[in-house]
Amino acid sequence: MEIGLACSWRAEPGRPLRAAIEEAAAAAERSGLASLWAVGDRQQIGEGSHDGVLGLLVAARATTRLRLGLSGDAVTARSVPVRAKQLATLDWFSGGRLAYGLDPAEPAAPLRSHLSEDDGSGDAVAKAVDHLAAMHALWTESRARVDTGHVTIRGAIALPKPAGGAGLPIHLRDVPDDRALGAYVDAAPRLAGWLAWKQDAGAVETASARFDRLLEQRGRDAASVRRTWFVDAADWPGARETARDLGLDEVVAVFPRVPRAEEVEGLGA
Amino acid sequence: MRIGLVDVFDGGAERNPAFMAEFARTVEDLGFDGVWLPEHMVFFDDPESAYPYRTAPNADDPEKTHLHNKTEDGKARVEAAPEQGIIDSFQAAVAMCAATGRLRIGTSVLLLPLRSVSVLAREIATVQELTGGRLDLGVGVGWLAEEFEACGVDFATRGRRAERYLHELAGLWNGTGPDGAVLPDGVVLPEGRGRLPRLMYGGNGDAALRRAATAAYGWYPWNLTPSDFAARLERFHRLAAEAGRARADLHVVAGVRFTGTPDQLPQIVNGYLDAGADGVNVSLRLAPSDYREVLEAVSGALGLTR
Repeated sequence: MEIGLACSWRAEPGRPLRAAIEEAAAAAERSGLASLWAVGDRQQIGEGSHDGVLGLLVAARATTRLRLGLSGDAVTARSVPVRAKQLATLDWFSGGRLAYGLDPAEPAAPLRSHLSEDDGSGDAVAKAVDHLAAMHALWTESRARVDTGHVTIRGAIALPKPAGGAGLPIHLRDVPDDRALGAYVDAAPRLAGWLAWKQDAGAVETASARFDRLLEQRGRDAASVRRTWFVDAADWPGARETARDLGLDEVVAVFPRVPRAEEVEGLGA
Repeated sequence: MRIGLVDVFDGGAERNPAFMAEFARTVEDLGFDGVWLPEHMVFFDDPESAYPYRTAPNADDPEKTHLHNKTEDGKARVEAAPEQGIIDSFQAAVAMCAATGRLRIGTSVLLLPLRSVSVLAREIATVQELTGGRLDLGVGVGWLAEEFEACGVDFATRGRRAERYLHELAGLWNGTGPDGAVLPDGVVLPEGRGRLPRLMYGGNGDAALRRAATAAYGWYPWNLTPSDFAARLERFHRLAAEAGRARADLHVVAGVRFTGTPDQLPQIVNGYLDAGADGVNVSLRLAPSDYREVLEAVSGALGLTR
């Protein structure tokens, strides 16, 4: 089982953010951690975090192996070509190390109005499906063509593209809404992971089994989809054992700010 | 003398991150003020939209202009490779600033109507934090209607949208909404944002000039002859004064696509500076194979390291 680190891009007072991220990322790689994640959109706007992608770019420059992840993009509320460009660029800078985490929860009004001028009307799940299809087309087609209810693209040249030519690996955050989660599964051509965000162990076990059933109903191979559990750093003691007992692939410690090197090194001890 | 270089980083194998860092250090060492980055989300093979800056001042006589772009079916085309890429400007800014000590990075120009203004505020705050405040923001309204369609943004009203965003951005930056209201409950921007970057509005027309003087904090015209620039700048000054804005609080950068030899460059650069520009941005479309030699010659011709 692997371990990882997630945090809000906020540094301690008086500590430059760039140096803090570089130090934490280097320590994570040195300590054998598998991943570094930015918090999702919901956490970012509520915690006053700096931008997730730009923080990961700094981590990418400071490391060579660490998997870098966004843990909860609100894809319905973002401009598809703008976000596709940002993510493809980050993947290019990191040499193909980006994991793209999506948050299928319907964005609440503050998040929605923060991200776009979308008034929230219409079917958010249908919109998510259209946005994911358009993003995938921009990432994989030499002349992207999309004509859905929510996106029209007529032969766009979108470069750079994510490494490998198959789009980004997508990780879905668990939500209790099976319709939404199932639609995201169907819309994710490269489904790589499932993310449980700060749920207790019992809830993770139940939700993971529910996700298994949802994948099986769709003829998808449940064993090929990684299970990652995000745990408050304060609850880290014991979390690794619990995660191992639950058969998870990875457990990630979530810090409210960028941790110091010694805190990162302590995760692997 | 503040000279910026406009150039494209395409996300390809040749202009890779190591090249970008070396390029940035070379530019800095040779006395240039900054690197400025164009922006497009997507390109198209044969768009209906025509590129608006089809003429540029001549190298030997900057008061005369020439067509510098390819024209097809009467439509000017932007200078772009058949498989043209452009990486995200803000990530490029963070990467190039990390490789240098004083070099500024500008957008040339960021397509403001395609963005979410409050997401943009967070991104700007992050770039400023990560670069020590070395971001300059050239913003504009774009010209490629097909790109706007792909982004789901109305092309016809992009100017009005941009103007509204400029006001909203200033409001959000100060922790208030566009009408003086606080941000929506639950939305927190990063702390310690400092001042907004220099925010220059791009474009040569009357609407652009008005928005530059009254809604942005500066002006960024492109490919004007020095005398046209001087005349427009006078109008910019008048509009800014009428809006109660002091010239010292505004920033003006003249941009030009230059295709002559390095020894011809001082004439046009000095033409802009003598007319009152705070800086001049030059697009040379440098090649990775000989960019260093070209920049050494340009730096020498302009006396940037003296």
